[in-house]
Amino acid sequence: MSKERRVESYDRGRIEDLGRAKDWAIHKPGMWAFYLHRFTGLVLSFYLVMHLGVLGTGFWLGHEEYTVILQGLESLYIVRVLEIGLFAAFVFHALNGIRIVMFDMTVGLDIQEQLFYLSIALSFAIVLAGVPFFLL
Amino acid sequence: MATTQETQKTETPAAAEAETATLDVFRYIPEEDDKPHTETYEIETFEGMTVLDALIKIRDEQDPSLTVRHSCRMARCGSDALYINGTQRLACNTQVSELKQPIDVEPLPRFDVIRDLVVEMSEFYNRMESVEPWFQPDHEPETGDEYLQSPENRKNIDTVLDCIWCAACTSSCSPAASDSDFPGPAALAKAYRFYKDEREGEETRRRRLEMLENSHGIYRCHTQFNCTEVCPKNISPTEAIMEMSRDAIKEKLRFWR
Repeated sequence: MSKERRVESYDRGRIEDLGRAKDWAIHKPGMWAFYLHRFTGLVLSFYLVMHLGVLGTGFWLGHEEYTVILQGLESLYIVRVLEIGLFAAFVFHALNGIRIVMFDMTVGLDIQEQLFYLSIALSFAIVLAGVPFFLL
Repeated sequence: MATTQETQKTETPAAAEAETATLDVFRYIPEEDDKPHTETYEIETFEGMTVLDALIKIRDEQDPSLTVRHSCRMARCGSDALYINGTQRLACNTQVSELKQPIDVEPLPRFDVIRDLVVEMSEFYNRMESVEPWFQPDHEPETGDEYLQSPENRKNIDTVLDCIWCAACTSSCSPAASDSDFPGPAALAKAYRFYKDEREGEETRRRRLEMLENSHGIYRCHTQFNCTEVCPKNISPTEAIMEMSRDAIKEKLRFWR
């Protein structure tokens, strides 16, 4: 409708949006919750592929090889530490998922910030409680 | 009147401890510049100075070519939504003293820049129009010539009626930036205003919900709450969108009711 009277304007574009690096620090809690939820979701789906790959060795290679591979992986310290990371991603994704489902039912929309902090705090508590199970 | 002027005159030198503010202002003049650049201005502040006051002062005293869109100066017209220190705010509603220096003043992100701090708003108005923000009753008024609304029904739309079309929320919304078919928070809050209006009747209500109920409509909202955070009138478009999407899903799950 306004194509004709449109003056020559400057399209700042996506690059400049992304280029505002200094603004990252002042993102609001709701935005951080979104980023964290997306990130942990990606971590979980990436893990799922690896998980199926490891489980698949039981079919492709045989039972003994599968046991050897799994024992070998579990004996590595880095794998156990990564498992804690995976657990943390799962716990946060689950708790924040509950928060998002609550929004869909229009519950707690006015306390979304506090709910985000609560899901972070609960995740920390649960992961800390779970650390002995992974490292011992 | 004379006495107030006199007291002001006598008080000013005492109060003026030469407090200054530094503003980094986004500048782009299409006739002169190929690319935007930032210009730094230093100004003397006074008590109660808003960012808009500061910009007008720069324009009056330092650089008459600085362009800024403003009208009422009291957070009512919605012309001067700017990107100040990394957040969408109304320049007339933001105190210079509350901001960290140097104050970073940019036009609204994700809109085309016409000149300096003025952005092309027609895309935003098209989004607003896409939700048909006008009264469409599906029946004749029951009593007399007027459609009467109950006070209880009016309470539902008290907050969303305050919208001043400043586009701060639509500028802050990342789904709106990546999807031009998504009406954005302001338009959906406006749609909520008509959706909740009982005077339009059941048929129009259902049609409005069907119009919005798709992946480029209410389901596009990621509940990032950016719009709620930046709204200068304390409207929560997220709440409006979520309420409509809840109703839409309840309508689909008929066994639920």
